[in-house]
Amino acid sequence: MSLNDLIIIHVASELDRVALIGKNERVSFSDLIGTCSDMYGKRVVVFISNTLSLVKTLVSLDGSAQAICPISTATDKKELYHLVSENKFDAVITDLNKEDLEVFTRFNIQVYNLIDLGRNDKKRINPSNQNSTWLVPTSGTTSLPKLVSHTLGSLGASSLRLRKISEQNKIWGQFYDFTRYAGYQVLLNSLLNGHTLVTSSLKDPIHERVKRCAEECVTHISATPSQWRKILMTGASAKRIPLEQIVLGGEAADQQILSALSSFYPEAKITHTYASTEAGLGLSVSDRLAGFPTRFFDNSEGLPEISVRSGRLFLRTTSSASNYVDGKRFKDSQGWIDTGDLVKVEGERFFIIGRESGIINVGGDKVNPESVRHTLLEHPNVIQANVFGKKNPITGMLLSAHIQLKANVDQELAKASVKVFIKENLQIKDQPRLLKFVDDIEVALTGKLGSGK
Amino acid sequence: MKKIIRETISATFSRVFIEQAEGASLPLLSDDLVLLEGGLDSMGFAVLVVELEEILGFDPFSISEEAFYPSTFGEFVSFYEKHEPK
Repeated sequence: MSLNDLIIIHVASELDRVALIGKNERVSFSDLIGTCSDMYGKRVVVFISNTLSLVKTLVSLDGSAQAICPISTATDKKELYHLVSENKFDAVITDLNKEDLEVFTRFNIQVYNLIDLGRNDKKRINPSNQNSTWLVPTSGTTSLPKLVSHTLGSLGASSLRLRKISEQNKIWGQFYDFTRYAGYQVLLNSLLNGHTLVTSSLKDPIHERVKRCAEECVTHISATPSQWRKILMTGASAKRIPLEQIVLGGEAADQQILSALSSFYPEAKITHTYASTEAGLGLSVSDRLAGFPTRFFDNSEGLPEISVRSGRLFLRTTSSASNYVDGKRFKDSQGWIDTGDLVKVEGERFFIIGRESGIINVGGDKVNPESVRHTLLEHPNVIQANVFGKKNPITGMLLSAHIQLKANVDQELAKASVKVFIKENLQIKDQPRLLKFVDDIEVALTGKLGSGK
Repeated sequence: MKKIIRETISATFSRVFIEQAEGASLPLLSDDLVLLEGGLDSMGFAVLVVELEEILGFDPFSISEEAFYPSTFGEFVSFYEKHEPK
């Protein structure tokens, strides 16, 4: 069943409710439904910067397009090129100008401007018979994203479980990009349960976004622990949001942020989750304690099956997407997914402590310190470098680098040049924010670099 | 001692600000300055906390038993003053 039809069934008599609130526009559920795109059987990239237009387009595409691949317009050029060149697409729907679309035209992908499309929107008459595939970009073990193939059912599994919508309207505030797995959870939860969603541009400063949530009386927010720390740092504005439900995901929630949220919003339900694009929603707990209870291993609460092998977390769940678009499977023959996340058990809790691959999570973004180190070593004056995540109370993790420069160069000039080099050669998430220029970098007896922590 | 902590924080803030908030103009460091509206982002603050730990020799965020996220510059300074090891 298509997203359009599911909204009609789930929201039923409440179609006049406001579904989306933009900065200057309100869209009801009945405004969202009833149109059908002209993209039958096509593989379509959705590259739209305006959030309300993005959601409307997704609803009109599901059930007609063969594959829907929403990509964030904030995607780095290199990543975008990779996604477009590695996958086969027929069309791109966009609200951007020609100069931002060069990568699509280069691969002969037909460009459809949203304004022109709006004029040709068709009324949806027959029930949709195309089961659209949803392609969700992930950052895997390499720094370049892969597409994971989902269905609406696997993407919205947790939202589809609820049959009846609540009489009291819930209001969600947006803190995730809707083209990412965590963003879909918020979007589909809100749409399929008849809730209102206050959208915001993720480029807006945090205090403006928090202020808007307070003004629009937002009751539900899902965000990463790093984003929650920022929300709390807005002080009085944050206090004015009448929160009933707080969700933390995307990186491990530490006890400090859970305790801070508990004292800031004593009435709210606080849930922290563990999920990945590949596995779908994994685990969640609302007891305000860091980590997850080891009783989850018993699989007695309707959760995914969990197993820890050599310290690594394996999950088996019905909501999982089946494979990467390139055909590679990430489940073994028994259906287990190796999450690549390392687990530590302490008493009756277990904690996610990092990635087996050495990849670290900086504010919800995956960073590969080893590849950052290799980039630094490309600078002609850098002789040795060590890149690592340093734990930090404000952001959870801070990407740091120790750099040893060649001895025979002007040190001040070289330092300035390295700083420029970092800005020009690394994506923002991969730029070490804490730089230390040192005389010597310790190499351990194993030949590996010291952790630098 | 309190005066030294405030002065150290102000001086370090200015230095980190110039490095981390390229091109932005340094705000007046008054007690009611809302930290995240001052032009330094949260990663910039993370750097400030690390630098201050090196200079002052302590990190109040790991010493403190209460979980606290300062909102204004005044709260930030008081948090350091309150948790300075005796």
